[in-house]
Amino acid sequence: MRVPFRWHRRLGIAAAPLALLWVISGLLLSWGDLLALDQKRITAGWLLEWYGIVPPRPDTGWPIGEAWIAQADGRLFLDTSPVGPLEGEVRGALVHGPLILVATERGVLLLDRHGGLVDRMDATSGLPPCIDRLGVTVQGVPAVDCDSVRYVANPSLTQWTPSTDTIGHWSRPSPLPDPLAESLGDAVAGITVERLLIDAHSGRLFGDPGRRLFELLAAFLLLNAITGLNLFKRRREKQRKSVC
Amino acid sequence: MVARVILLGLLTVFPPAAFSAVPSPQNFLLEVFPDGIPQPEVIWLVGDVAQDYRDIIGSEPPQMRLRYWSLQETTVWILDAVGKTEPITAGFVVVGGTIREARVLAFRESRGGEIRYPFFLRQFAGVSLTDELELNKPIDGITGATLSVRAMSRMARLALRLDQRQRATR
Repeated sequence: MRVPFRWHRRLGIAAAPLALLWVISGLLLSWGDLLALDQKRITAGWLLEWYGIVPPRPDTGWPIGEAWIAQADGRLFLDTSPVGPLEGEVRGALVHGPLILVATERGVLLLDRHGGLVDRMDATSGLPPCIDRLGVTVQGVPAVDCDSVRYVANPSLTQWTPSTDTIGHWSRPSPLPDPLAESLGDAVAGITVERLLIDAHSGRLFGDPGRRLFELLAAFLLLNAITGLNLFKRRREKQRKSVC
Repeated sequence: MVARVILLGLLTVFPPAAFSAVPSPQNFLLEVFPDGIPQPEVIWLVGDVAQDYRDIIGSEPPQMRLRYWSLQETTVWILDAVGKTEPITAGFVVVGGTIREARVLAFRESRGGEIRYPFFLRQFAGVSLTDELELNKPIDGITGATLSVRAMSRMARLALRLDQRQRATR
């Protein structure tokens, strides 16, 4: 089959823009871990609207002196500074000396005053399988309750043991100040760069028409490869004939 | 012949994973210390210790302190390291500078779970650290579980190094 060069050229030109998008997004995704693309977020309003995402706005937090502990979009925040991913719901937060204790239903996190993670404590520290609330005893010792059974921490905060000590006060959630709630909403809004690239790479960014378009791109590239090989074969035959 | 057919049937119904149960960290400690788990001690991942962590694990320490359990010559370390994309939790029992036992306590990847099996973990028994902070004998890999195997080896090295540091302070 003789394929005119102009068809090969036309196929290539037609496929070029989408092929470039495909190659660039693919390359970036393959280096995604190094570039931490799953950590970087895009919050442009037009993009959120395109995705139909309504920015979440957390309403409540846990006051700890001048600061707040809040949970949004599966992450823990000290004011607006992200502390890290969080599994489970926060059950309480308090300050204890130089440390901040944050209890979740699964364990207790120890943070320093800047939100740096000191330790994650769980059943290996003697904590019960559930945590309902966090407080301090009248002696100022951190305590948690699980199904009305109380556990208190040792002075080095490495071990929790059952206790009947009386609680001085429990940590309670409060409505977040509006400016903080808004800042937190902005901090968790958006989609990750990785998500955007995956959708661009597959064509899903443009919905079903986008996917069909990328299938067409695949067909174009396949035809382009076939026509390219055909042209290469013809050129070689021509060169062989001219040598003879 | 009949026994083989029955065994094959059993292996089909109960896949091999059922025979390599992964204990929780708490149950692992109870197995190691059947007479009572000692109070945890703490090693701070700062300074030289943090540098050891970086050199061995290849990333920043995820937290500032690490709890471990110690009784006489035995120390027990529960550590995390990322295999391919998710962390693997493993426990190491170190006695006198040598690993007595290694166990996988949580495996979160979609593949490479063969590291939970005794045939792999047995290799760590008797392993110690060279002067270059490497394991003193090679650990055979598992096809399809290379990254998980490497994560386990890194954690074994870290457990031995931390045990070394703690013994030096006593």
